[in-house]
Amino acid sequence: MKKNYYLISTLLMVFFVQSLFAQLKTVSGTVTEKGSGDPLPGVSVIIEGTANGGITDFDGKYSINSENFNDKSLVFSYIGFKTFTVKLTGENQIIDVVLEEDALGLDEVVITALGIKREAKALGYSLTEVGGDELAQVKVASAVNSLQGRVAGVNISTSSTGTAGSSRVIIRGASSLTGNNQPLYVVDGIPVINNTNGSVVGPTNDGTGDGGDDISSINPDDIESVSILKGSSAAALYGSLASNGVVMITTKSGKGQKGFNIEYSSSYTFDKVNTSLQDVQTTYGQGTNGLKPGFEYDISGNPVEIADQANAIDNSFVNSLLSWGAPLDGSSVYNWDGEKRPYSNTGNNLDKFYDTGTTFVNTVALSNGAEDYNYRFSFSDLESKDIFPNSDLNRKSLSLNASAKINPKLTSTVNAKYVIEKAKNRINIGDTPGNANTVAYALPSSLDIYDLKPGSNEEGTELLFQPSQFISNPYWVVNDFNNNDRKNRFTGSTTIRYDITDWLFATGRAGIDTYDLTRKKVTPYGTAYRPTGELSQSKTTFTSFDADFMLGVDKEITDKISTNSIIGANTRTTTFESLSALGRGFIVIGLEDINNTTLPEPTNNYFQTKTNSVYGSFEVAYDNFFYLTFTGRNDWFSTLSFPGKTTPNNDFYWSLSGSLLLNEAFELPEVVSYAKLRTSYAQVAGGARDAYALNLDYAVTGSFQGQSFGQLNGNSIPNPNLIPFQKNEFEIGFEGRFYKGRLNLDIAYYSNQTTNDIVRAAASQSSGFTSSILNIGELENKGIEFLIGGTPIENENFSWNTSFNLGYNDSEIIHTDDENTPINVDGSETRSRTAIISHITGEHYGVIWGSSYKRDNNGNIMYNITGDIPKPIQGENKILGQGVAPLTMGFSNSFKYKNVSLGFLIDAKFGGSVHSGTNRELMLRGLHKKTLEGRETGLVVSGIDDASGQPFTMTVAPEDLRTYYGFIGEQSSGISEEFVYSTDFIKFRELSLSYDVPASALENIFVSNARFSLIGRNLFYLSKDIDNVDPEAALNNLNSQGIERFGIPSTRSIGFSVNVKF
Amino acid sequence: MKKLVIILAILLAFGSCDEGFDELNVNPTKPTQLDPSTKLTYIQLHTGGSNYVAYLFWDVIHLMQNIQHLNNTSYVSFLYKAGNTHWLFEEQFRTSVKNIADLEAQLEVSVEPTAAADLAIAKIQRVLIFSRITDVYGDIPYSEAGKGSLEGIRFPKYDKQSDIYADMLATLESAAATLSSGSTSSYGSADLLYSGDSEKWRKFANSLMLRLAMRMVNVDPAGAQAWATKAITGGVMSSNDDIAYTQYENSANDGGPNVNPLTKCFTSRSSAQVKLSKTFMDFLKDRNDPRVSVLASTTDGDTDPALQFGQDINDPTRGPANSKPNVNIFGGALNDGSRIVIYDAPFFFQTYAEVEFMLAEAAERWGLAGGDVEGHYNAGVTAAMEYLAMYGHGVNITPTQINDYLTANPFVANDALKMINEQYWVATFGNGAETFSNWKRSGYPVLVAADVAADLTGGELPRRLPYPASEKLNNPDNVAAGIEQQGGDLLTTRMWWDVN
Repeated sequence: MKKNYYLISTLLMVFFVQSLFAQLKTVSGTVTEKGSGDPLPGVSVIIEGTANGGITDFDGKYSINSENFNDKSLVFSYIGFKTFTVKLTGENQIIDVVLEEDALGLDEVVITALGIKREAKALGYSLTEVGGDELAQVKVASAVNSLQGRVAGVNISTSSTGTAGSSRVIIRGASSLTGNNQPLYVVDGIPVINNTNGSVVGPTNDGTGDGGDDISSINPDDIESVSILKGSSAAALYGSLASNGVVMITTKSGKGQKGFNIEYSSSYTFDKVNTSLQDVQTTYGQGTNGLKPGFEYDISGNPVEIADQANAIDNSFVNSLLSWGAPLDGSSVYNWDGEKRPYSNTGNNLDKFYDTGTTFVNTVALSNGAEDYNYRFSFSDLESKDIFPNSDLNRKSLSLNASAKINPKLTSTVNAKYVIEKAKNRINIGDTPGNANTVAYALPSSLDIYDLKPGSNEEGTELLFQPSQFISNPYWVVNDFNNNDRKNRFTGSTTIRYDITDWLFATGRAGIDTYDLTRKKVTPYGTAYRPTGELSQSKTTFTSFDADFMLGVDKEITDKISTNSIIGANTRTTTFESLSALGRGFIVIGLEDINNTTLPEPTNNYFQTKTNSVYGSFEVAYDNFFYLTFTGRNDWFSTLSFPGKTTPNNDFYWSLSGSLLLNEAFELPEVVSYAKLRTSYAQVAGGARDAYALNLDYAVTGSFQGQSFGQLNGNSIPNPNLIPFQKNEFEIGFEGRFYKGRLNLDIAYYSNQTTNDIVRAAASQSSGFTSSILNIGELENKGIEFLIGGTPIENENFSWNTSFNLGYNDSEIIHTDDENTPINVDGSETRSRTAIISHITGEHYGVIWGSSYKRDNNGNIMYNITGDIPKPIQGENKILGQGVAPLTMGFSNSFKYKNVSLGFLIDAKFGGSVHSGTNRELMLRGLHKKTLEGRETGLVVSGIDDASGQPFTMTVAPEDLRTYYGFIGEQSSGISEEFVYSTDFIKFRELSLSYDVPASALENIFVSNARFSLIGRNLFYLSKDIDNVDPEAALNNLNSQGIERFGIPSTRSIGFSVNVKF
Repeated sequence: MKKLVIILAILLAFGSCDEGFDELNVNPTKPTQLDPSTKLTYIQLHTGGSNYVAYLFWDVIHLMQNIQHLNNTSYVSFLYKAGNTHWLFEEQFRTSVKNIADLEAQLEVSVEPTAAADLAIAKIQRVLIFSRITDVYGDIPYSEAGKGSLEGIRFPKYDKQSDIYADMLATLESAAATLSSGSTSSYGSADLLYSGDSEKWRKFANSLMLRLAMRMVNVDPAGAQAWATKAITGGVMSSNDDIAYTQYENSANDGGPNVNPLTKCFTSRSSAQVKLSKTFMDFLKDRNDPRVSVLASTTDGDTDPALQFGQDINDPTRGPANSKPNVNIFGGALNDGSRIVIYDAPFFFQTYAEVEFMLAEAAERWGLAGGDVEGHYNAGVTAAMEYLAMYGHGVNITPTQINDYLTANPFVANDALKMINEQYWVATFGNGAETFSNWKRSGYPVLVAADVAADLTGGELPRRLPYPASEKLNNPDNVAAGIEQQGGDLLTTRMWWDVN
C-alpha cells in the first residue's frame, strides 16, 4: 500500500506547485508534507547558487527578501525529502510547496557498466559513488590517490617516488598472483589505458625509475563523479578487463545546467618532508671502531689522530657513510674533503636536502546547457615541484564534453581530452646508484649534506665523498642527471543513440585512447658508476581502440513486470610500438644527444593484442521491489591464440544478481526509510596480458667482429597451451537508510576465487630462465565491507555529516602447482637477497618470505661463537608478514556552520608488514637508534651456542658492534626477520576549512559563487609502528608489495584553494 | 523492423570472433629460429662471464691471500661478500647454459651434413661451461639445467659432481671421436675459439679431458690416470697456436659481452683499487721473472721491476690514490700504460702452457707423456712466457729472457709438483676459476688465509662458493637436497674431487 504511492511517483520530481502574486521582492509561503499535509519546519529555502535564504518556521512558513530575484531559482531542501526547485519571476511571490518524502535511494540513478544508467535499487551488487567535489577539495597530482580511505574495500597505495609516481589501487583483494591486479578505468564510457611506464623492480634496480602511471592524467577538477564497481558482477559487461573491478570516472558536462557558466578554481599547496618520522641516533658521529674519522688507536689503545695527514683524510673519506664513531664532542676532525669541521650534530640532513614542494593547479571551465545541446570545455594546468630538488611535473589538460539531440530519436555525445604531461627528473629509488635519497638518509649526523654540494669536482665529474662509485653523490644526481619525459595523450569517444521505438534503442560507441611518450634519460659523463656516461632515448606509442554496438530494450511487459535488457558486441585492440636507442659513452663531453655516443644501439618493440566479445544483459523487475539480472558474455583473446593451438582461446561466463526492497515488500517500522537486500554470483574470464607469450622465439642481440649473435628471446619460459583464467565472485549485501536518511548503513560480504590464474612464476635460474608462464594458481579473497554514516546534526546554522568505512579482506592461496611450489613474485627479491614476496599455499597473498633467526625449541636465538663476536645463525626461510594490509578504514567528517565548512579524513591500515631496506642500511651503518646500545661498555648477547647447544653470554666489544650488525644485515647470509616491520598506521589524511562568501556580498558583482579553502593533506600520523620510514613506503605499484628501500620520505602538505563561479 | 534485421546481421558478423587472432599473436619483430653459428658466437662470448663474474673471483681472493693474483685495495666495505657469490651461477645458466642446450637440441635433429661436427663442438663448449661452474660450486644442476623451454623444467635437480664429471669426460671422448672422423663444421668465423677448425677442437677436447682428469687425481687416482692416458693418447694442444681463447673487441663503452670481462670489471672501478697482490708479486720478483714488467706498471706507466710492489691483504692502509708508486696494472689511462688490462685483451680458457704443466705432472705421477717431467716443465714455462705476446701492445718476452729465467730458476726434480703447480698458478693469470681450482687440487702455491677469514671461515681458506640466495628462494627443495648430498654449503665445504 505504501509502495503504491511510490509506484506512481517514483521518477517524478515535481508534485505540486502553487504560486500566487504578492509584494515585490519578497518571496514567502508554506511548506507542507505530501500525504499528511502537515507543515514542515526546518526546511532549507535557498536562492540557487547562493548562500542567501532561510528555513521554514514551526508552521512551515518562510519568507525571503532580496533586491534581486531576477532569473533566480528557489531551492527547497529537507533531509529525507526530495529537493524541489522553482524558478522565480523577479516579482514578489508566494510559493507554497508540497515536499515529497524521499526514501533515499529509491529514485537514485547510478551509472553502471557500459554507461547504462540504472536505478540504484535494481542493483544486486555493491557500487560506491564518490562525488568529484570530494576529490577536488584537496587536490593531489594523481586524482585516484584522493580515493584513499573513502571507499570500503578499496586499498590504495602509492610508490615512494614523489608527486609523479604511480599508484596501486586494489579492489577486494588482488585476484591474480603475478598478473595485473589494478582495476579497469573507464572514463566517460570508454576503457582507458593505465600503463605504468617503468617501475622500480628488483634488488638491483638499474635506475629505470618509476615512470608514473597513465591514470594520473585525469584532471581532478573535471571529475563529476567516480563510481566504483567492486565486484565481478558489476563488471561482467566489461569483460575480462574488469576482473579486478572497475573505476568509472564521469567527467563534468554542461548537462542539467541552464545557460552559460564560467568556473575558475585554483589551489596552491606546499609540501614539506615530514621529518618527525625520522628517528636516528645523533649521539655518535662518523667513524668506525668507536674512533673519530682520521683517528687510530695507538699501541696502548688510546685514540690518536693518524699522523700522516693524507692517511688521516683518507681514513675519513673511507668511512663517510658510517656512524660507528666516537661520541660527538664538537672537536675538530677531518671530513672526507680534507677540511676540518666540528664533530657535532649538523642538523637534519633530510630537512636540508629536500626542498619545499609546491603544487599549483588552475582550472577554467566554460559550460553551457540548453534543451537540445550542452557542452563543457575546460583547461587545466598543474605545475608541481617535487620536494626532490630539480624534479617537477607539468600537466596541461583540455577537456571537451558535448552532447546534442539531433532529432527526437537521435542523440550524440562527444568526449575529448588532450593532455600534455612533462616530467622532469623522475625520481630513482631502490638501489644506491643514482638514488639521491640514500645519502640523505644515511649520512652520519656529524656530516652536513650541504658540504657535498655541488656534487661535481673541478673536472666536472662526480665528486665522491666516500669510496664506492655505486653510492651516488646526491647533488650530482640532482644537478647533473637529466631525465625528462613528455606524454601527449588524446582520449576521445563518441556515442550515438538511436531510439528505434519507444522501448527499443540502438547505441554505438567508439573510443580511442592514444599517447606518444618520448623519454630521454641521461647518466652524465663523469658519473662514478658510469664514467663515460650513458643516454637512452625512446619514443613509444600506445593506442587502444574500443568499440561497442548494443541493442537495448526498456519495456513494461505487464503493469507489474518490466524489462531492461541489452545485447551487444565489443572489439578492443591495443597496439604498442616503441623505438628506443641506448648510447654509451659521450664523444663530445656536455652534448647529450644519442648521435654523440659511441655505438648507439636501437631497439624496436611492438605488440598488438585484440579481444572480441559478444554479450547480453537481461533484467526483469517485478512490481518495483524485486529485480533479477542475468548477464552473459563470451570473450575471444588473441593473446591465447596461436597457429595450431588446440586449447581454447575463448570463454563464456555469466552472472546472476538480484535485489529485494524489503521496505516495499514488507511493512517495516517507520524508522526504516529504505532497506535493500542484494546478492549476486558472477564469473569473469581473462586472457594473457602479454602478447607472444605462447611460443619461443629468438633475438639477435648484438654483433661481434662483424658476426651477429643471438639467443633465445626473453627470460620467461613460454607456454603454448595457455587457456583463459576464471574468477568468480559471490556477494551478499544489505543497504539501509533510517530516520529519513539521517543514518545510513551498507554491509557487504563477498568471496571471490580465481582459478587457472595465468602466472608468471619465478623459476630457478638454473632452468635458464627467471620465470615461467603457467595456468596455475588458485586464490581466494573473502571479505566484508562496512559503511555507516549519516547526518547526526542538521539545523539552520549547523550540520554535521560523518561516515566511517571499513574493509577487511582475507586472502588465501588455495593452490599453486601440483607440488604446491611457492610462487615468488618476479623481481621482488630484496636487496639483501634474503627475502622475497611469495605466494604460498594456505597463506595470505604476497607474504614476505625470508630468512629468520635460527632458534632452539624454546625460541632462543642460536649463535656461532667460535670467533670473538657471536654470530646469529641464519635459520630457515619463514613467513615474516604479509605485504598488503588486510584491514583498511576511513573516517570522514564534515561540519558546516553558516558559511564555514570544516572537513577531515582519517584513514588507517592494519595487518601489513614491510621489509625495510632503509632500516637495514641504517643499522649496518650505525645510524639506527638501535645501535646505540653497547657503544660504551659493549653489547651483552645471550643465546644458545649452536655447536654445543649450551646457553652463553658474551659481550660484543663496542668496536665490534659494526661487525655484529654486519652479520645480521649481511647480504645472502643475513637475517631478514630483523628488518620486517609492521606497517600499521592511523593517519590524519586530509583537512579542509572552507568559507563560502555569502550571496549578499556578491550580489552587485558578476561573481555568483565564491569559496575559499585552507587545505592540508598527510598532516600527521596518529599512530604508526615502523622506524624512520613512512609506513606506506613502497618501491613500486606492482605485486611486490612489502619491500621498501630509500624512497622519497613522507611529506605533509598544506595549501589553499579558491573556487569562483561567474 | 528492417533496421533491426540489419543490426542483428551486424551482430552475427561477429560470429567468427577470433578471425586472424592466430597470426596476430606471432611476434612480427622476432625470428623463430637462428642459424647455429649465430648462437655459438653468443654462447662463446658469454662463457667467459661478465665483469661481475670477474669481480666475483677478484672479490673472493681476499679470503685467499690473492690466489687470483690481484688485490682489491683494502677498504673494508669491499671485502668478501656472501651476496656476490651468485654471479657465476645465475649468469652462466641464464646465458651460456640455456643457449647451448637450445643449440644442441637444434643440432640433434638437424639433417645438415655439418651437423655432426657442429654438435660435437657444441658439446665440448658445453663441457667447458659446466666444468667452470661445478668446479666453483660443487654439485650443481646439470642433467636438467637450462631446459626450461626444451622440457619445461623449472626447478632442476642438483647432480653429484662425480656424475657430472663422468658425463663430461664421456662427452669429450665422443666429441673428440666425432671430430677425428674428418667431419667439418659450418661455424666458420662465427666460432670465436677456433674458426670451426675441427682438428683444433679435437685437441682442445683432449686437453680439457686432461684437465678434468687431473682434477680427480686425489679422489680417484686410477680414474684420473686412465682419463689422462686417454687424453694424451688422443692428442692434446701442442703449441701456443692451439690455445682456447676469445679475443675481445676494443670498445670502451660496450655494455654487453664484447669486451674483456676482467678489464670491464676494473674499469668500472677507480683504478687505484686494483693492484697485484704481494704474494704474487713477491713470487715473481724473487725469481726475477720478466713477466713483472708485463703484468705490472706504476700508475704513470713505468714498468721498471724495482718500482713494482704488491699489496698485502692484511695491510689496513688503503693509501691515497696514486700518491706513491703503486704496483698497478693500470698504467695511468687505460690502454695507455697497461698492456694486460685492455678492452680487447684475450680471455684464455685453456693455454698450451697449462697443458704442458699437466703433462709434466702426468709424467711425474704416472710416467705418461714420455716421462720427461723437466722437459714438459720447461716447455710449460716457455709457453707461458711466450703466449703473453698475444696481449699485443709490444709484449714480447725474448727467448734470451726465458732462458735466463730457466737457468736462474732450474727445475728441481724433488720439488716437481710444487714447481709445476706454482708455474701453473702464474700461467693462469686472469683466469680466476682455473687458478682457484688448481690451487685446491694441488695445494700450490702454499697460501695463508687473510686476517678477515677469521670471522668468516674460522681462519680457513675457502674451498668453494656458496650457492646463490636466489636458489634458496626459488629452488628450495632441490638446493636443499644438493646441500644434503654434498655435505654442506659453506665456503669451506669440500666438493667431491677436493679431498687433498
